[in-house]
Amino acid sequence: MHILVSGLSHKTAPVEVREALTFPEHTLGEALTSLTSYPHTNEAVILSTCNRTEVYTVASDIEGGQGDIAKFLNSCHEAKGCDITDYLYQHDSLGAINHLFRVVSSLDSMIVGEAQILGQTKEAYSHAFEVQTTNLIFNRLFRQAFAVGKRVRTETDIGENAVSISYAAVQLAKKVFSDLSGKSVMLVGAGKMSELTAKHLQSNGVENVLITNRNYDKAVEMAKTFNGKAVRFDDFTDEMAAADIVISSTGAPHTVIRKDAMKKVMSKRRGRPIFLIDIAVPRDIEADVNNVENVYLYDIDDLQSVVDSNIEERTREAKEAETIIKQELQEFLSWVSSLEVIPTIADLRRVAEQIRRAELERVGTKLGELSAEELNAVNTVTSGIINKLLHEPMIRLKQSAGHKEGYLYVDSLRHLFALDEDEEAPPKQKAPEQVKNMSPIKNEYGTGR
Amino acid sequence: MEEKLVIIFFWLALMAYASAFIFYVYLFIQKRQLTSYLATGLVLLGFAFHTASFVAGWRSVGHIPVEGAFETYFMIAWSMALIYISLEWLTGLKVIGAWVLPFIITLMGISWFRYESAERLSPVVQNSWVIMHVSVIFLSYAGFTMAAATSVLYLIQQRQLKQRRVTLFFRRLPSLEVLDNLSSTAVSLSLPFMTMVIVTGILRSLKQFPAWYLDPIVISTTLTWIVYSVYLALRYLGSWQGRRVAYVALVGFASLFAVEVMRSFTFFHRFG
Repeated sequence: MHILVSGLSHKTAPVEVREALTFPEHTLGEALTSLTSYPHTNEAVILSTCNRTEVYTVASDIEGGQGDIAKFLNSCHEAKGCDITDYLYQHDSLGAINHLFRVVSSLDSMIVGEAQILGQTKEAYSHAFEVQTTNLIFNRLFRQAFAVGKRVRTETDIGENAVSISYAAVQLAKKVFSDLSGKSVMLVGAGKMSELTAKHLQSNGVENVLITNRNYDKAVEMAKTFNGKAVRFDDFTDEMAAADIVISSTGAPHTVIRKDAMKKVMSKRRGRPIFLIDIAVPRDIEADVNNVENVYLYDIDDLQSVVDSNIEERTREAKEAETIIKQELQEFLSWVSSLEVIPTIADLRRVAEQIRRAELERVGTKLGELSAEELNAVNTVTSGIINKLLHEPMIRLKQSAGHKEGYLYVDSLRHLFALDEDEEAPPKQKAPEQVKNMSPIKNEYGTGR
Repeated sequence: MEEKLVIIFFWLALMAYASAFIFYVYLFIQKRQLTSYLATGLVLLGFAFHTASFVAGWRSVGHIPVEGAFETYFMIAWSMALIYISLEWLTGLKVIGAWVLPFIITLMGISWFRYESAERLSPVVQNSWVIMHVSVIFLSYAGFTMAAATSVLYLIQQRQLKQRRVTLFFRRLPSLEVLDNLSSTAVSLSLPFMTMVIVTGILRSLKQFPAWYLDPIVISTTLTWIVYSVYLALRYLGSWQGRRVAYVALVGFASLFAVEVMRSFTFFHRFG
């Protein structure tokens, strides 16, 4: 039994290649069943997002399984007429498990720490589960992978800090104000970036949106989309006292918010802090404004440097994530090794011998004093019965080891004879239905936080 | 026997606080779940020992042991630990632990150097007015120390934001608004206690020390009371927010220190 993965991602393949090898949701079921019909492949999960396509399988032997995947991928993309073999990477056994754990923890993502890959992997697994191309190994492996992904997110800061300009603005606002709900934002001028930032602020609780623009009609129009209020450009600094956050992005060649105006705003605000974001180039807000008490001014470069340092922070946290992965990998491996044939046979013999001895001890008193010869005979007979009884199952188990579903016999045997119960039993598997309730997330590498 | 228990539990508490401090610092540098549990667990353990030491002291003298120098600093530290634990419970903020525990540990250290048996106290101070007077001192001192700690954090965070530098402090410290609210709440809750300190003190000394108003401690405490009243007036009535009131809170804390220095010049505010 071997776990294999083969695929391509943003790291190995350009977008033209990636888009040639995608599996849209409606084709997944068919693809999965065709994959498991290959001779060496027993279980399969296909993970297909815009940045990666990966095929995970459980195969009876490594080379055969890899051959199956190669044939399968060729059959899938042949129609599109493009050679993908140069872009493929392959991992087996330990490497494959490690790869899955890293992917699901978003260590392999374009933006390390993004949140969506976990949900996407859950979806990929539940598709496979529905068409029954997963079994013992993958049901266990993928569920553990989701636990890894969750541990990494909760136990490290990997997804904590913003890695895009607009989210960095939100993160900074949250360092000034404890809670953004009930706060107001003012947009000075229009622009994609400022609108995006305002949307993020709104989804973080900001309630009132004030919009001003040199073109008043445009301001009114924008106010509708934000459910906010338009303000005339001539006297917007008068209204600014009501805003806790100001995002400025006018196309003006000169500054539109100056220090003296800001001082007036602050005396109207009775000193309550205000957070100014200047994303215009050339800048809209006089740099000196930052020196006014309780005013915090950030321009586009400042935001970018926050983003840069956050990306560094994520890389540091990724190291901690790797140690979590190592621990979980160990746990999975010890479970897998219990499925080996040889140790199972040894366990079975041990249990049988224990039973035999226990029974002999129990009846020992009833038999009275036995001579050495008699005792020997009893031992020979009882051992003989056990050996005869176990002989056939053992032969068949050894034969099945080479078979692609061999480990299922091992698992059944361990279960029927309770071989794991006197030692530390592996945790019981949860009902597979649980993974079905997942939010449909489509894009793997959005500006996730 | 009880006296030995006071000392044993005292040291156990101090050791637990010191190890909690190490974990809080580590947690400040790197957010880890295990560290977080250990830090909180140890501070709770320290508080349990601290309380046990207090109870043992009570049993050894038969009344609340709050009258000597040892007990005073010991109880200020105890009140601070109590305030900190409730704060962590209420807000879930763990980053402040690394900044409050040094105060607690220092206070315990000071109290140890002033250790003396409770029996040796003079009968003058074994009086219920004094007990009340001293009990409110613990609470007000602990609250003002908390306000000073959060004000320092405010000033640090404010500086990070003004200088637009993303440092460890920037990441870990809570928002300006939270820090500002914490310190102003601490002052608002502590000032009534300090008022009670002054009132009970005056009532107690009217007969025995007619010239009580000449005592340096009385004068410096009143000045401290004025500083904190100014803080609240500026914060809630005026438009002083953030940085400036944080400085006022630190001035108040400095004058608390001055009160302690005055203790060597006082004519009736001596311990024991």
